[in-house]
Amino acid sequence: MRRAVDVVTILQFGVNGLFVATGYALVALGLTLIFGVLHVADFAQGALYMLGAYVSFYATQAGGVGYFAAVALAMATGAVLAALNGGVVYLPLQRHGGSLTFVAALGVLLILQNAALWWFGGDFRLVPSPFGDGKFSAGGVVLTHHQAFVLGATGCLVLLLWAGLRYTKPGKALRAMAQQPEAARLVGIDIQRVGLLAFAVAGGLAGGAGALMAPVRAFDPHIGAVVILKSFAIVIFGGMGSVPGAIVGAAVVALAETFTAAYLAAEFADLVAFGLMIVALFARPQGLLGRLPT
Amino acid sequence: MPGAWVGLALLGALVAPVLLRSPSHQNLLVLTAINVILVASLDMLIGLSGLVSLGHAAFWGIGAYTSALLVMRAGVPFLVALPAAGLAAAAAGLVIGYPSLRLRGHYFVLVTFIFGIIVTLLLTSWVELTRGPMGLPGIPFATLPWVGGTEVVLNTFQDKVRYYYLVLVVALLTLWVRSRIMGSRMGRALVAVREDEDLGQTLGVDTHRYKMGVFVLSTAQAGLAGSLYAHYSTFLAPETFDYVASFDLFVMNLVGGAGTPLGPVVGPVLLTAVRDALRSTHPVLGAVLFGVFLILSIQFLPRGVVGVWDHLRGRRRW
Amino acid sequence: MVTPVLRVEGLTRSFGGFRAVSSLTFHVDPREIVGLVGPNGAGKTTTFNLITGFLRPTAGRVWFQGREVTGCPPHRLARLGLVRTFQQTRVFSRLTVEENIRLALHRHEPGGLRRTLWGPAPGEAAALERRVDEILEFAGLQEARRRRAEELPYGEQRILGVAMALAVDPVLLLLDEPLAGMNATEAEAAIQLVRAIRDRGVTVLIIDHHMETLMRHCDRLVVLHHGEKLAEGPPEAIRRHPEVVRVYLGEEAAV
Repeated sequence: MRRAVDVVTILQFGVNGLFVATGYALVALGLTLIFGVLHVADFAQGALYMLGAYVSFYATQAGGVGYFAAVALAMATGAVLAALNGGVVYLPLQRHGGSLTFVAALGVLLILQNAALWWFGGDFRLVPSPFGDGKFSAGGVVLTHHQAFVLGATGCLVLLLWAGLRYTKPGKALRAMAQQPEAARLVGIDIQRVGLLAFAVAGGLAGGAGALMAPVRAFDPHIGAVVILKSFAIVIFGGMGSVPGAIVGAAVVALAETFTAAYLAAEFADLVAFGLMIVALFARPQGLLGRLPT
Repeated sequence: MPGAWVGLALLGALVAPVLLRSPSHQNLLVLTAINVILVASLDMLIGLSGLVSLGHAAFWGIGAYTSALLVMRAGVPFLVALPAAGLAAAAAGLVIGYPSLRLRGHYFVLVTFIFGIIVTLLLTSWVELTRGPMGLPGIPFATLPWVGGTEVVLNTFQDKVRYYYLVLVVALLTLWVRSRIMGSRMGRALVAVREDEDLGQTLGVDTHRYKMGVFVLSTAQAGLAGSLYAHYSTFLAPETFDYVASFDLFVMNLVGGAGTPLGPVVGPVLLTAVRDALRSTHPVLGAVLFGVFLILSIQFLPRGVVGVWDHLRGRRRW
Repeated sequence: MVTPVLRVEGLTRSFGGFRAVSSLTFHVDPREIVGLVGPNGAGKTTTFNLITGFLRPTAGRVWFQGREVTGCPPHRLARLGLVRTFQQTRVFSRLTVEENIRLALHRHEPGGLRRTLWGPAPGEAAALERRVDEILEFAGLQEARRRRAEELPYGEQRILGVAMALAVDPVLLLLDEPLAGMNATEAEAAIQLVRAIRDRGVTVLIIDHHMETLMRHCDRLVVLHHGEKLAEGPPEAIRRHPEVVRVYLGEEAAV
């Protein structure tokens, strides 16, 4: 399967890769946020992505809700479930500390994934895009309207998150917890509440990502595991707890796997992402843009 | 745990195939014994040393494919393939463990988890070697040399009992090694790793060396279990060894009681049949249940079923 | 002239742009009790971490018994006889007192595959038991030997920590605030233990805030301030040292 090596084709793959990156980036941002505050790799975020996709599917197909309202609904669902999960499963586990929470998070992912198989069945679903088949074309490089919308929406969400972390009081508390936990505790920041906030924000992003990607990428209940493992690779590659690292990491991983699938073999695409992750773990354990714990 | 219980468990394991005569029950016995090897070796990491490995099934898989391919492609006898499987898994353990055990914090759990995913991906995508998702059928039965130059073929389709005793021998050896280590200088060093690694180092314990030792040993045992599984089922598929399998082993370890003398026996005995029954009838429910078991046992049973038993009997140990 | 047990030369450690320890030079002679004192953030614990291999120095060298050990990992230093305790109480809290000591005897316990699988040679176990008894008696912890470490009162946990360090059979013992959080009686008992340890031939380098106690019991003091050595000498000289008086004027009045 040899692909042409001309500028247009490469640009097209670049665009596709960036688009794939947006879905990962939103989930990776949530992961990195939670990790920064609580040092938990919340695999269950993948399930929230999957549930977000199903919410948008059932809301538009059975509920008669418009697509944009469905995206909002998916975000709300993700936020509520994530906060619930954080409050019921992870925060009580904090006292056990350490690596057990990773396993618990994996357990929650598997529970939700299989519950979804039970309720929704294993068929692949696709949500019709409100933009139909419309596309932009520039010199042979194609971007569908929906892709453009997702890129724009992701940009807005990232900007909102950035502003929220920078300028709002809870956002500042979140950053303080991530950067100087000791100091944050001393000035009386409530870890539990900030932690729940991180879960809710992350869940909202993951649910939203699921709904945004639902018209482009066919999904079944297993998509959650696929997405979370990728996002996890991204977060490790970019540096756990680093917000810019999550974005840069998402772009690198998505581009790498798009080009691997295009020019080498589709089977190797996944290996590339995880290979990058292993290399990152060994060569630079704190990640591309992360800092070592002191 | 008093010797009487160990004796009783041993007696039960020895007479089980006589009492359970149907092939499906005997199948469960063999699978349980293989799981005992896997969970006992995993528990040396989790229960004894506090090293959370989420990739144990990958080492099991490396052992299984190594043994199967050596026998099929290179015509190696089973008795050579079995230790070779252990060595292959241990070599992987060495490569993965050396850098990741140096780092503190969550790196070990991350690296083992990712390693598990990579192994599954490799087994799936290296089609020329493993036949990928189609699976590897027709693995020869194990053969053992016998007196007078004849060979005994352990045809597990016709007779599972003899194979069960073979697996039982390895399982008992694994349990014996584990219990010896727990009471030894190495065991104490690993307890130091689990409880407070910095403190252990200031007391002169070369913690990295002991962590490497126990990890390589544990992965080698998982590799042996892989070989025993390959020549039992005669068919291998990548998803048997994926991260969900690692997760299930973890659940068995925790439910049985991590770090307790009989936990690695209790967990597989309780859960192998459950897992197997649900996998064929209602896989979805099975996965949900294992997830729920895990979270409940982390929250409420830090020492598993064995811990509850001890508690009811008014005993408590660290 | 005797070889100092510990010699530190030009020891420096920066975190980012901040110099926690800066060109620190001092030595500890055999069988001395030397106090390392200074206000909070003066770099005392960082110095310990640099000496014991928990941190790598940015610059400078460390010699132990005339042998350079800069950057040596903690477990190797412990085997050489350079043993530390931690600022917070660090014991294996879920193990019993006896098990804690037993673990601390790691270095003196013969190992090997044969012993792992078949148990220790005759006499070896009994010899180790005797050592456990001896250390428990020396530290006054016989009564508590079967209790879990976390059940002990705070002062006894600290003493257990020192007893464990002692079990390693140190040449030089580094004690990081062994008296912190103790009441006067506990502190007195602890300092008597430190003196008894020295009388067994162990050299001691000690960090603490109890200025008065250190003044009374140390042979020499090294005063740190902002990561640099401000003064060094016997307690009487330190007490009159103009720089020390200037830095400590506020704190001294409060003590």
